[in-house]
Amino acid sequence: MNKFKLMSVRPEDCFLVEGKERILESYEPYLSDESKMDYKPVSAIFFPENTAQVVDAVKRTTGQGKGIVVSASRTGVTGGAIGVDNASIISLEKMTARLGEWHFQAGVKIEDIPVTDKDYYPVDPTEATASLGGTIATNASGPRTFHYGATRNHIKALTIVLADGSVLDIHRGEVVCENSKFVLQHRDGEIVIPIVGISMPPVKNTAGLFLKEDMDLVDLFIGSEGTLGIVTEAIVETAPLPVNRLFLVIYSDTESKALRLVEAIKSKPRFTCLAIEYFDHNAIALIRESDALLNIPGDVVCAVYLEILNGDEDIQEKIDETLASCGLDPEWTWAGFAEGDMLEMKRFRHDVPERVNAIIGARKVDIPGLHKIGTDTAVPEGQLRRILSFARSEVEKEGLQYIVFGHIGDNHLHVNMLPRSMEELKKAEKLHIAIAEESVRLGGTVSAEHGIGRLKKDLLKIQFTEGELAAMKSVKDALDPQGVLNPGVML
Amino acid sequence: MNIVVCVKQVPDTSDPDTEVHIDSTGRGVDESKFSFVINDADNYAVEEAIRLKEKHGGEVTVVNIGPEGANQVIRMALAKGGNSAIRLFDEKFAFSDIVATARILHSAIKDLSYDIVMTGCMASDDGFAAVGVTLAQMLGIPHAAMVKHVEVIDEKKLKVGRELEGGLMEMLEIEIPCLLTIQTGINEPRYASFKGIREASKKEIKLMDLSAAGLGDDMVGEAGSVAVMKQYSVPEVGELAEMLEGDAGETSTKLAQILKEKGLV
Ligand SMILES: Cc1cc2nc3c(=O)[nH]c(=O)nc-3n(C[C@H](O)[C@H](O)[C@H](O)COP(=O)(O)OP(=O)(O)OC[C@H]3O[C@@H](n4cnc5c(N)ncnc54)[C@H](O)[C@@H]3O)c2cc1C
Repeated sequence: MNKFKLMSVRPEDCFLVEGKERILESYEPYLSDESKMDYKPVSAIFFPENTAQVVDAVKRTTGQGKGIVVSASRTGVTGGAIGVDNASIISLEKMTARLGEWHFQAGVKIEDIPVTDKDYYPVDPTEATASLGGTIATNASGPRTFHYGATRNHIKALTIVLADGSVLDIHRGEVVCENSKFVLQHRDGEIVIPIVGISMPPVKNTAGLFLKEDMDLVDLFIGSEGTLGIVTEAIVETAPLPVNRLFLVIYSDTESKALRLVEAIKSKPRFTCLAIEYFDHNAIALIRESDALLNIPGDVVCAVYLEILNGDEDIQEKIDETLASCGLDPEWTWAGFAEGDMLEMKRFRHDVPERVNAIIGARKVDIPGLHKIGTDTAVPEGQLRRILSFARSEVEKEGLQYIVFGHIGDNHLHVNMLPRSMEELKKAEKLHIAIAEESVRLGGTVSAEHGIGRLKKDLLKIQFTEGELAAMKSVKDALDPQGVLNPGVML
Repeated sequence: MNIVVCVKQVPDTSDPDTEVHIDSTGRGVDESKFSFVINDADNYAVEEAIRLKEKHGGEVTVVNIGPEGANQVIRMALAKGGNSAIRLFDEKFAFSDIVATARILHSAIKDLSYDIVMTGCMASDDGFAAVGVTLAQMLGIPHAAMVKHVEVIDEKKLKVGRELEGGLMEMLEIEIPCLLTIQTGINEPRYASFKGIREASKKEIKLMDLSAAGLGDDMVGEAGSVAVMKQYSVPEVGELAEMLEGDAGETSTKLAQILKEKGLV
C-alpha cells in the first residue's frame, strides 16, 4: 500500500530560550557542529522532550515564517546542524527516553543504547556520542557496517514530525511506493510525494535522497538529513551479540600485501569479519609520533585491522593460512579476544584523526583560514586499487601532506589532506573534487558516511544528473513546500 | 630462571562509564555489565617474567584463581610467552580473604620448581596489596614489594629496586628463591601476537579444585579467612555536597549558576 494516514498530535508547550544575544552568551555551542563552519545566531532554540512538544516547536516557528534547523548531538561534519539566518533551532538533546525494549526517542546517544546478554544495536559510528536521530538522518555507518550494513538496515519504525506539524508513525513494510508515489492523507487533504527512481551506486552511500520505484516510506527519511521531517522516535533492529571475537591488527611491509589480504578475505571468505579497516604508511607515521607506547615495529609500512567472529574450531588455522597466502607474518600482528583489547586497538583509529587535528590546529595559529580536507568517497568492488592509486598520484603530484585510512572493507577510504598554506588549501579543495569525480566515474559515491549537509553541496552535482536532482527536489517540495526544514542542507 | 607469575582477572573499570552496583546479597557487586581484564599490575609482572626468561632462560608458569572466564587472561599471558598455566577454582573459594587466597595460591606453587614468584603489587578491584607478601611468608621465602627494577646478579641473588615516596628508589639485594610484588610502570608490556595466541591455544591450563589443591573446607572461603567481608555500602552523600545531574552541558550550566549565586565569579 502506498497510502497512509498522518496523525494530528495536540501540541504540548515546548521549553525554549529566546533572544540572539542571550543565545550567543549562554548557548553558543548549540550554533555550531563538528564541521566548524561559520554560523549565525538564531533567535530561538527549542528543547522539546517528546513528539507533541516538537509539534509545538514546529508550529510556532513556521507560524513566524522562520526556518528550522534540526540539531541533535552536533557531531556532524558537514554543517547540517549549524545556526543560520532567519531560523530557529530545534534541539533533540533532551529526547533520550527509552520507550520500549528497542524503541527510543531520537536524541538518545548511540553509546547509551543498551546491550543485552543476547542482542545489540550494531551500528557503530566512530563518534559514539552521535544521536540515534542524527545517525538516521545521515544514514551513519561505522567499521562493522562491513558486516551489518549501515543504519538503513537497522531501522524498523520511525515517528516523524513533518514541516506542517503533522506526525507520521510508520513501520517498515507498511507503506511501499506504488505507481511512482506515496500518498499521505490528512484531515484537510493529502500530500502526494512523487517518486522517480534514480541511479544509486552499489556502495554504502549517504549522498542525496534515497529514491527507488519500489521503496519503503521509512527509507525516504533515512539519510534525508532532516530536510523532509524531524525524526522524533525510532524502533531499531538488533543483531545477536557476538560473544566470541578475535581482534587483530596485522602489520605489513608493503601496501600491496595489505590490499591482497583484504581482497583475499572478501573474495573467498573463510571466516566472518565484522570489520576491516586500513591505515596507510602516513597514518602509521602519525601514530608512531603520537603514541610511542603502541610500539609499532620499525619496518611496518601499513596495517589492517580485523574484527573476526571467532566461531568454528579451525578458525585460527584458516586465518594463519590466509595471512601466509598474502606473504604476511603471523608474528607481525597484535591480537586479542577481550573487549579491553579491542578498546586498546581503537587507539589506532583515534590517534589518526586526533593527530591530524593537532597538526592543523598548530598551523592555524599562523594561518587561521586553514583546515583539513577529507574525502568520504567509496567505490564498487574491484575498484579500490584504482581510486587509491589515482588519489595518491594526484595528491603527491601537488606535494601535499596526506594520510589514507578508513573502512577498506567497504572500499571506503578517507584521504585526509593537510594543507600548510592557503595555496595548498586551494589545491586540496580541487583534489577533493577530482577524487570525488573519479570515484563516481568508477561507479561510486561522493559521500559514503558523512552526508552532504551545507558543506558538500557541490559534490552532489558530480554524482547526480539534473534530472535526478530535480526528482529529489520534487520530493522536498511535496513534503516541505515552504522549505522550512533545514534550509540550505543537501538540496 | 624459572618464574611463577600470579595473575588475577578483574573488572575493567578504566571506562569512566562503568557502573558498579551492589548486588542483592550486599556482599557482592553485579558483574553482568562488566568486561574483564588482567589486573593492571599483574600485566607488568607477566612482562617482567617473560623478559627475564628471554634473557636468562627457564620457564614461566602462570597461576590464577578464577572461573572458566579467567582462561582468557591466562591465554593472553601464555600468548605473550608463558609456558604453562594452573587455574584454581572451586565454589568453596568464594569470600576468601587475603590469607585464604594466599593459601590457595600456595597449595599450587609450593610443589613447583621456581626461582622467583611474581605477583602484581595490588589488585585493582579489592586493593588489598597483601596477597603477594602473605604468599611469600607461606612459602618461607624473602620478598620485596612495589618492585620497579629487577636485575639478575647471579644464580643466587637479584638486585631489585623498590619505589618509595617522592620518587626515591630503594635498591636492595635479595636471595633466590624470592617473591616480588611488581609495581606498574616497571616495563612496557608487550601485546600478544596472533602467532602467540595460536601457540597458546595448544598449551595446557591445568585445573585444580579444592581437593586437587589438597585443601580442606575450613582452609578456604569464609571458613578459612581471618577477615570476613560483611557488607558493601555506598558512602552517603554529605549534607554540604550537592550532586549535579545531567550531561556535561547541563552540569556546567548549573555549576556556573551556583558559582555566580555564591559570588565566586
Ligand atoms: C570524530 C568523529 C568521528 C565520526 N565518525 C563517523 C563514522 O564513523 N561514521 C559516520 O557515519 N559518521 C561519523 N561522524 C559524523 C557524525 O558523527 C554523524 O554524521 C552522526 O550521524 C551525526 O549525528 P548527530 O546526532 O551528532 O547529528 P547532528 O550533527 O546534530 O546533525 C546531523 C544532521 O542530521 C540532522 N538531524 C539530526 N537529528 C535529526 C533528527 N532527529 N531528525 C532529522 N534530522 C536530524 C541535522 O539537522 C543535521 O543535518 C563522525 C564525526 C566525528 C566528529
